[in-house]
Amino acid sequence: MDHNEAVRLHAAEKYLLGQLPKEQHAEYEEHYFDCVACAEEIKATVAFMESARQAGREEAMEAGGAKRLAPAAPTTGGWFAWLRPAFAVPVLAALLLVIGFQNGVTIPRLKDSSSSQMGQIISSSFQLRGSVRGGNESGDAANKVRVRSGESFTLNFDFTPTGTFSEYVWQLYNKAGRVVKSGHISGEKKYQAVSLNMAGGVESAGKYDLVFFGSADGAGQTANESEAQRLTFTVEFLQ
Amino acid sequence: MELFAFTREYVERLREGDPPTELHFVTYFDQLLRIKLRARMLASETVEDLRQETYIRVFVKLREDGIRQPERLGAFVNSTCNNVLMEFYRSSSRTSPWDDSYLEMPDRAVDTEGFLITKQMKERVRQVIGELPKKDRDLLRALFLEEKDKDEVCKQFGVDRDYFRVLLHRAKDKFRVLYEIDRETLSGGGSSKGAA
Repeated sequence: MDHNEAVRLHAAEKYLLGQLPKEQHAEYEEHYFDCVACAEEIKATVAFMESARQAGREEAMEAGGAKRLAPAAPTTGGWFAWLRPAFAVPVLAALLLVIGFQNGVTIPRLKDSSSSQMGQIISSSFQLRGSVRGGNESGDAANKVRVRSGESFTLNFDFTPTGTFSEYVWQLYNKAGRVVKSGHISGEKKYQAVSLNMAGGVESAGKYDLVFFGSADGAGQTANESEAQRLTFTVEFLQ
Repeated sequence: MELFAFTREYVERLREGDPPTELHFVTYFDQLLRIKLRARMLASETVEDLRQETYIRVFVKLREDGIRQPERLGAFVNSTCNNVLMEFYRSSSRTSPWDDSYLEMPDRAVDTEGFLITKQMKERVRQVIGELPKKDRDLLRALFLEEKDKDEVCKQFGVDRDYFRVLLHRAKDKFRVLYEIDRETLSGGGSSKGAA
């Protein structure tokens, strides 16, 4: 979303009123953090809405003495309607049946089928964090990948790129700044937990940067070399 | 209104811990982070925790590695906040199912309760609302003050949600003009935003 589109859509009001369609919601959020004019616009809208609420409350208090204003009760039963005995008793009974079935039948089968694969998956999977927490660790070196030389491994991370593209290109840089691996990832993975397989592993230990670029045409051409996300980790070889 | 741009010099000052720049940074992003986090219907103490965590990570990252595109400092802060949010939801999902749609939450109005409002802002709002036709005044009152269901109020007043949004947009614009004049008057006619 660019500035003109945000203005045309009245995006600030729609966002604050919860009227922005799902696909535009995150785009507008990205935009108002990146666009000073739109940041001022949304701040002014919040200031107006809250000032109006507070000014109205004060007027009501002055006009009605100690008359207390309470939020209107929902006209429909909402979620709490499910707690009424007429619903709750049969629903609880059905839930108990489902839980009993899962514990007795479904889950043991799942455990049997997955146990043979679990060891292999866990041993070569590593969670990467976007930026370090706290500050007492030494930077992104807190992201450690401990494998043998040439051993395949999987990187798990939150894919939170800036910009919206149908596809992103990723490149893995070694400490010398040379691209040692690359690939593509669908734009549909945005804001999801993603696993990236590093088949064949890496040849040398040290610091690596996993960098994502927006792909303008979906065919691997990066959009003005605009970096969308960067994850840094350190590979340590096991003896 | 004078706008500014984040520059390499601004980010350098931030990295060096320059107090006025840090104050500007926090003042600028504080409300944006609150708006973003409030849009997810989180408890106020959670909003505060996640906001603080975002600042910590941004400052740690800036001081250790810097950022490659200083002009996109805002995008970097947003992206860091998204990471913090995802980790928060993942840790919450240990006890409840994780729904990854939390980053895109339409059809939920943002709770603006608790944002800093001055006496002057309230006066300007009264002035703007006082100049509106009675029907529009009553509509805004019903929605903001009495906190009634939006669809119900729109039906009662015989308008649709677009009417309310456009009304809000126009009233906000008038308020903003008056408020900017007040701010410039208070700051002696100069801009206090030339941080870049």
